[in-house]
Amino acid sequence: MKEMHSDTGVSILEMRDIWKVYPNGVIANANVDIQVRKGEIHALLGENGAGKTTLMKILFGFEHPSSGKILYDGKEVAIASPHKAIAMGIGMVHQHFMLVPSLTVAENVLLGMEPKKGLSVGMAKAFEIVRQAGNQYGLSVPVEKKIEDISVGMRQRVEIIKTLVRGANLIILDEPTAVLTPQETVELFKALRILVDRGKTVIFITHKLNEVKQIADRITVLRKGHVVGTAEVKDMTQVEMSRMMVGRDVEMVIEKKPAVVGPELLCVKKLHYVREDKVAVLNGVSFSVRAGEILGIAGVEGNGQTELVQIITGLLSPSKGDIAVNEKVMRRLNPKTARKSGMSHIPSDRMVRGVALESTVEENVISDRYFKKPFSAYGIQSPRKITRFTKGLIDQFDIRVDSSKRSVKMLSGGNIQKVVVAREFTAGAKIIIADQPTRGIDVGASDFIRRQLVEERDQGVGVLLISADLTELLEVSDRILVLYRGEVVAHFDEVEGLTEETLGEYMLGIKRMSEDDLKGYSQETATDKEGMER
Amino acid sequence: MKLKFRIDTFQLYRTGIAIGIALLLGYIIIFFSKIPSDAASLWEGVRAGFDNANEAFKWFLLGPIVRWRGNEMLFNERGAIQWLNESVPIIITGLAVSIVFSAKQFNIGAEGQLFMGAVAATFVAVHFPAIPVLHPIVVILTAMVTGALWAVVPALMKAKLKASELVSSLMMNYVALYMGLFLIKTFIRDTKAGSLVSLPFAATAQLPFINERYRLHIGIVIAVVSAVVIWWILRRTTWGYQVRLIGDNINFAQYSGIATQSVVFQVQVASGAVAGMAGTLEMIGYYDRFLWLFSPGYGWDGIIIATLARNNPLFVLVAALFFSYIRVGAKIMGRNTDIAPEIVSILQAAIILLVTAEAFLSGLKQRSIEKRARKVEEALTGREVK
Ligand SMILES: Nc1ncnc2c1ncn2[C@@H]1O[C@H](COP(=O)(O)OP(=O)(O)O)[C@@H](O)[C@H]1O
Ligand SMILES: [Mg+2]
Repeated sequence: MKEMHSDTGVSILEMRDIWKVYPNGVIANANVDIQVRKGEIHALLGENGAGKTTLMKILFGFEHPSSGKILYDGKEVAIASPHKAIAMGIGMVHQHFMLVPSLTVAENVLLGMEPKKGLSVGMAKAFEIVRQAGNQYGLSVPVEKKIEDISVGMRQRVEIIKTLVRGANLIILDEPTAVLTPQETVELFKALRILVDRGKTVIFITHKLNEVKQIADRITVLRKGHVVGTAEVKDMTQVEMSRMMVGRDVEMVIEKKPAVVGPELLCVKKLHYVREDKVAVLNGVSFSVRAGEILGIAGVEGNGQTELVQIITGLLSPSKGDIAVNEKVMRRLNPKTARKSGMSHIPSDRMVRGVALESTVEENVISDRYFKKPFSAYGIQSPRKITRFTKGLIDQFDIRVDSSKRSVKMLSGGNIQKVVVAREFTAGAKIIIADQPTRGIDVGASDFIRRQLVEERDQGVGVLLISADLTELLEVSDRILVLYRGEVVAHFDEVEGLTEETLGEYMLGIKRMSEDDLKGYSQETATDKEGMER
Repeated sequence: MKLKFRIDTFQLYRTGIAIGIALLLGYIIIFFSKIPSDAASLWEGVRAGFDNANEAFKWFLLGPIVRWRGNEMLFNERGAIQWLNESVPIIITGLAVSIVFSAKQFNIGAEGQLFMGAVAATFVAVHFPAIPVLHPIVVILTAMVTGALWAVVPALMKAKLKASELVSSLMMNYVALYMGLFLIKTFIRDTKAGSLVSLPFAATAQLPFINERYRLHIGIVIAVVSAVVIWWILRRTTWGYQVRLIGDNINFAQYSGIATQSVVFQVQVASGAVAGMAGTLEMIGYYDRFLWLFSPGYGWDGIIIATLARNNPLFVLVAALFFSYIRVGAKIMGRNTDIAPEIVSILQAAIILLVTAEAFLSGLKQRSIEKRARKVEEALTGREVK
């Protein structure tokens, strides 16, 4: 499948025999060869954890390879830092944007660039420079607005303009569509086409096959750190690509029995939250989750999901509103009382909250039950019982680790998430709050977690699923709500027939259900608003 | 794709190499300072330098446990006992600091806690009704309670006012010093003595001796037992588990339902209680009255030792014994040669710098990780890897 030297185009970049071993011993890249031609859109395809980001960080000077060679424009180069990469004409848009929220678009674009000798750039001039740079490539942006006030899709444009203004010829986009709605993705693809028409080269990281078909000229597929092959996209079917990426045929459809719905377990009533900087992030959100169902929450990231989950799980106090569990309003809600009331929580920021990295797998899976039997008695831990319990979980959840006493930081991303899931699914919870439970993990682990969620629901557990992955949301949920600017703007009691495009329209605020249709979900009234002011 | 690699062994090597480099550094300094300026030739000078440095190092490295009668080597009982006695307060402060450091709290108030502990203990040691056996126990408990109370202030300020415990605990050290000396001077000073010392302790307050001639007291036993007990508490109890989890990731601990604020408070207070007895053990073991005119510095030693021991109470024992050994060695060297014993401070500084410098030998570690990674990869894929 390798066809490194049959190239017709001139190559702008070649990376040869790249190795990267992280200090924790993970081999992120092994013997990687990749060749990118001038003026193409080259997709770097691979599952989560395949080593795509690592390879591109090496190219951008963010990480240093353990060994290997990089040729740029035919010359061997050493890329010591991002600074060097930018000077060479390489630009990168990271998975997580690197913009300053409180500054304007123009300021963000020009930040850190030297003003021309002798004159400092005035505001009006700055706006003009950035506007022109964008228009040239069909990327119009509201230059005078602050980053925090514009949409995620806009922010991404700003990142791209940033690389262009710095003279990038080769632009790397790390999973750019992961944060976008279907509509925004279409816009992005238009812009990418204009970029290559104007002579730029694009490396496009993704694990979504339909996108590759739509936009890319050639692909290089990575699996477990190795290159599986390079090919012309027109010669490949999606099935072939998927097989290359995962190494086997994937059976993705989850069989779901109709939901057998029980009593209301979790009830969120007119929740408001105003951040320290006076921004209202939640504006009267109401809904409930019943036993035996999965309620999905859709929404572009940053529309109040984070705060909503933190409030429900007791990590944050609402400005107004109530959380009721089993019809009982929780007066002193904190993580401890939330767990006691039968809630478990898969957090979206697993490295920050989901695990203690230096601690062992054992220590991580007992963190919510260490004080109970059989894990301890009279305040003294029972190491042997803890080990036995952990080994059981390692088997049951297929966590790839050679010892229950290995520290969690030695595990791959997917396996770290399995540690979190193993703990939260065995807590005996009646309500599971699953916040981006499969973000950034491989297909096998994602599929496993989704099946677990459905299984819990069949056992009569109530599941609240927050996900940026619309395919997942549509596949797993029984009902779906859409959150936009801290409000419920749509609810669907039936998921059958619902499309990603429809959800996307509500997520972007293009459409919104009428107050009548929303009765019981969004209860924003005049009195509520008054309450907020105080 | 994961590897069996014990990073702990690496830390051990690294500490060993750091100590080796520090000793070499000390040797070189002595060597250069001992080349006589009036040597007949360069060769003569260098030889004299080596001879002098060897002589000095003999005292320094062996002095605490060996004495010489002619060429015969004998066990230096007095030196060995001095070594053990001097290790007692720094083992205790090392333990106290390792408790707070385990929870990643930066309380550096051990110095003030042990000082106030000793001041309060002095009052009890002098005035408490003299009941044998019970008396030293009450004295030690008083010191611990005082140390704990002294730790409550920064702990409360942290919990209630979010004041940095680093700053407030540091300030409390100065308050302790001046307030403590004031209390001793005003209420319990021995006016018959020439310098500022307290009245002598009641005889019943004295800790039992293991060796009466050189005053080896049971403080060392208390210190060793404390180390084992604290290790056990941190490693085997649910409380210790909470402490370590907080130290690793406090957000995770909170998310898991642990009452982090209250555990952090308990940690500060427990550490204060342990630190409180550090000076007192020495005072009622080796001395017979309060005689500090300034802060003894054990609290600072405790920070160094806990850092070196990576907060493991059992390693604290080893690290404190090591430091105490080279200090006694340096003093013996100072008595027998004309080299200033303060050279030991240079050695200590070098060891700490090398052990805490993350980058020291990290290239070596990375290379060995990479080598192993490639071996694993070869085994898995059957392909040869350069
Ligand atoms: N800074 C890091 N330290 C240790 N391991 C890492 C680091 N970054 C990524 N990894 C690991 O390297 C592997 C490849 O990660 P990554 O390059 O992010 O994959 P991808 O972008 O394809 O999802 C994963 O197993 C991941 O857990
Ligand atoms: Mg990635």
